[in-house]
Amino acid sequence: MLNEPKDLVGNVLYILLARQFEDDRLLSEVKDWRMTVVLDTDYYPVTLTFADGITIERGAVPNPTIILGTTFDTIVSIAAEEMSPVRGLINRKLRIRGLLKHPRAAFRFYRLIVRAMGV
Amino acid sequence: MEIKQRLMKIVGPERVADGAAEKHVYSYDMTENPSLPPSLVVMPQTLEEVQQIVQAANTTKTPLIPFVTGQSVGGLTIPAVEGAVIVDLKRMNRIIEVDEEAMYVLVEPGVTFGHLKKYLDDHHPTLRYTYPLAPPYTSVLANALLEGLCDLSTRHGAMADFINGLEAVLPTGEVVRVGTGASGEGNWFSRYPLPDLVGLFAGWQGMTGIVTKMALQLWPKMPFNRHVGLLCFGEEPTIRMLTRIARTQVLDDSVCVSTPLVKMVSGVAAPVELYDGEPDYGMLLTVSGNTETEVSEKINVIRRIVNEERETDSRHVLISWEGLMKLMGDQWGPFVDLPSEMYKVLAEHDGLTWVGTYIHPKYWKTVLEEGRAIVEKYGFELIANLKAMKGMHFGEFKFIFRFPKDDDTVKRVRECNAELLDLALSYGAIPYKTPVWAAKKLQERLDPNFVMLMRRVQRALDPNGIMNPGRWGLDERD
Ligand SMILES: Cc1cc2nc3c(=O)[nH]c(=O)nc-3n(C[C@H](O)[C@H](O)[C@H](O)COP(=O)(O)OP(=O)(O)OC[C@H]3O[C@@H](n4cnc5c(N)ncnc54)[C@H](O)[C@@H]3O)c2cc1C
Repeated sequence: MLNEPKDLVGNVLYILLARQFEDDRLLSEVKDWRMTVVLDTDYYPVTLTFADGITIERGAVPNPTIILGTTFDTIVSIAAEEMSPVRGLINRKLRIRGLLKHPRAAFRFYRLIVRAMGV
Repeated sequence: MEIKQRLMKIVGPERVADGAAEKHVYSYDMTENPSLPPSLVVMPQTLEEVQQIVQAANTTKTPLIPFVTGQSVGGLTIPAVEGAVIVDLKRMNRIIEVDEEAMYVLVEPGVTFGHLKKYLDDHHPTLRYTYPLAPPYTSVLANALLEGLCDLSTRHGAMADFINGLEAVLPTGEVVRVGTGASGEGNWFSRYPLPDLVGLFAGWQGMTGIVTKMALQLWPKMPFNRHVGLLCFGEEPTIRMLTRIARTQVLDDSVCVSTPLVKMVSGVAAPVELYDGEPDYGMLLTVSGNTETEVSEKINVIRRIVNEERETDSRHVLISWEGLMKLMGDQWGPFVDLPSEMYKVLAEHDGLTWVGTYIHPKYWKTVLEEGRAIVEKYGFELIANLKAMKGMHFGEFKFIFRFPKDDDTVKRVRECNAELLDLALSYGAIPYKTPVWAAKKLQERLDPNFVMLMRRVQRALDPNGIMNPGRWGLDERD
């Protein structure tokens, strides 16, 4: 369902998502998703490919469904509940590209990641 | 009478062993240092037995090696000469006294970190000792004798600084006490203002006698504690931040490691690499206080320094403990609740080694940069480990290697460790828990009169040369 990446940002995503997938319902829902998301951080980009599960890889694939631009510091602030994701979006600390073209994919990923961060 | 018979008479036949299996177990450790079996293993349980063993060994001129669990990561209990007897002190495992007022504990050699922690938590919950990353089953007393480092070392220094005094059986068989405990029972409050004879035993790797009791400083357990993580880029900014933060004196402890070790703790499988764009280092900083406000203010002091550094590189990130656990996994819990199983991340293979050194702060950054290049050249996992020591009077520097013990890898580990030691020595660093090969390199750099003094002290205490002979390379220069 979820590969174990060997890089730092990928591993963070793995840890966050693996906890969520203890919930079978969410698991079977996510299995049906088909999209690619690039998390473009100030450290380096990571691609999440949703296809019968999630593959997390270092680097950015060309033409992803959506790109979420942010900094690692912002990820940390959200995880520590020092900043809400909504505030992140308003302040442009979180930037979603592809939102207009793929609103459903953007919404799905946003919901998944917010849930994974426990905020 | 042969030494075996003499020892059996002292401790009973069931506590003397010379079977092939026992000799094998005591012939090696996890390091790359060459193995050599002892001739016998003996397990005393009392001071009197230790004394009689030493007296018997003087009669037969038998080498003795004090041993508790053999986890020094320096090959220090591997016999350096043929025919040695391992004196395994595990059975001497009493916590004799905890003095609440003067805040010390009096322990025997076999008391382990796990044992002491539990005992204090159960019986003296307002006091704490200090704990290493080492396995919980290792010796508190041996660790202090070896001048290692634990989780209060950023504040209080190397472990020998925790020693108030000790009781030892000299190589010639007399029992001595040093420190204020020499004036009577229940009085182990300090090692001063007497001549500081703890130095006759600390750092000597068992060459100057067998320590049978040790008084160690305890500290009040602070009601409020907090940990923060710090991810940082580049050797220069990393060392600058660590040094600046440590100099503020807000820290109880600091551990700075290469990012691959951070990832190992987070569960990344071996071999663990450092990728482009990842932070080079991760720090874990610990503060404590009497109130939540005191702790928060200490964190603010750290935050201010990090924010200043972020003006040059905004990728340095301070992470609260809650954030760290959420993002990097619950495995981090045991890292701050030592002694723990945390050491197991380093036990991926059968081999584990390092040359740990203490170094002048001014060379810390350079030695880290150049050391990293050496480790990268050999293609090993990058696992630097640094600690600010004693309020930043000095630093700890080492690279850790976890490795499979095949011939080729062992050879490369030896070469890499030797190159790292040469580098460290060239910057005036001094290795701790020094294996013999490293001690010989160190001797070449030390003032010959210092080595002469060491040898003179050792000879005076041990005229028959029976105590852990060959260590420190002292015999070689005759
Ligand atoms: C994974 C791992 C992590 C570690 N992390 C740390 C760390 O964070 N900090 C740290 O300081 N250390 C660390 N260590 C090193 C080590 O575990 C400790 O220093 C340990 O406490 C030593 O105890 P021991 O029982 O292994 O001693 P042993 O190896 O049995 O003995 C060590 C030396 O002391 C001498 N000796 C032992 N007992 C006596 C005695 N009674 N009288 C005279 N001489 C004696 C021996 O002859 C030998 O030279 C680590 C080890 C491992 C394996």
